[in-house]
Amino acid sequence: MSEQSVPVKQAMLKLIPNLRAFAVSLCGDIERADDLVQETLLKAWDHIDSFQEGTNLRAWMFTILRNTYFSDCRRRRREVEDDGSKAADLAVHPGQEGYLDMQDFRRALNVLPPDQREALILVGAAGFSYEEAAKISNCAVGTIKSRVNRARAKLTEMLGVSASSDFGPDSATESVVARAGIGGFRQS
Amino acid sequence: MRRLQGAATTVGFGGWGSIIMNERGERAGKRADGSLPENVSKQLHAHIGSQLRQMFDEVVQEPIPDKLKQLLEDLEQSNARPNGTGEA
Repeated sequence: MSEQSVPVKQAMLKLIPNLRAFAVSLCGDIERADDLVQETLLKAWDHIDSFQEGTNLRAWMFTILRNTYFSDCRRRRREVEDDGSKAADLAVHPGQEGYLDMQDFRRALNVLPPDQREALILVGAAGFSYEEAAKISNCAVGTIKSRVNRARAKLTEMLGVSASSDFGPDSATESVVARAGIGGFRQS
Repeated sequence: MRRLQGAATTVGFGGWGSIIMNERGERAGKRADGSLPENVSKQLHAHIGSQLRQMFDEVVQEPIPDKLKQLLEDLEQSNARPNGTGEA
């Protein structure tokens, strides 16, 4: 129906930057992210009748995107631990303060299990409440909270390790950090 | 394993190194149970939060790729009725 198309198109257009940011944070690869966003736009458009006007379009489209991402992961049978090397090629500006910080951070984020990474991004970066994040991820609020806590703890540990080798972390974390290339560690 | 040099702490690791190491060049020591001191944990958590938002916002600020804009244009056009006004 053409009368509805224009406002729907405008609303979706405005959401594309957010969707791209979410997709990139999830998969760590800008090309794959744009493919995910493309698929999300198509699905959202096709199923716009199932969207309840007045509810949160952003949350609805984030839900479609994360479902698309997870079924794409299952299809690809990716390993959970990505070395995140592609994430480092994203919009980073060399010479900017904190350049190496951001590279390390993206790599560390990509090492997290996807459900923890997703929860952390929804709550910590995309600005959703725990309740909204739970709806998007189709799980209980308590589950989101524990995923966020575990993600934070893991990141703290990984990034704390990279900043000081004197901390003597457990060997499991150490090998993860080394393999992910965080903080300049390389597997010998 | 690469040993952390004093200079590398501030140049190589920026924010992280400056949280772990204070102005006197002393490293925050781990507690007996292996955890970091609470103030260091809190700082790391805050730093993680700002890194997350910065990473997210960097992409939000990028211009929308043409192919995605075009997709929405095409979808809108395909929905227009043949005899409709289909405002662009």
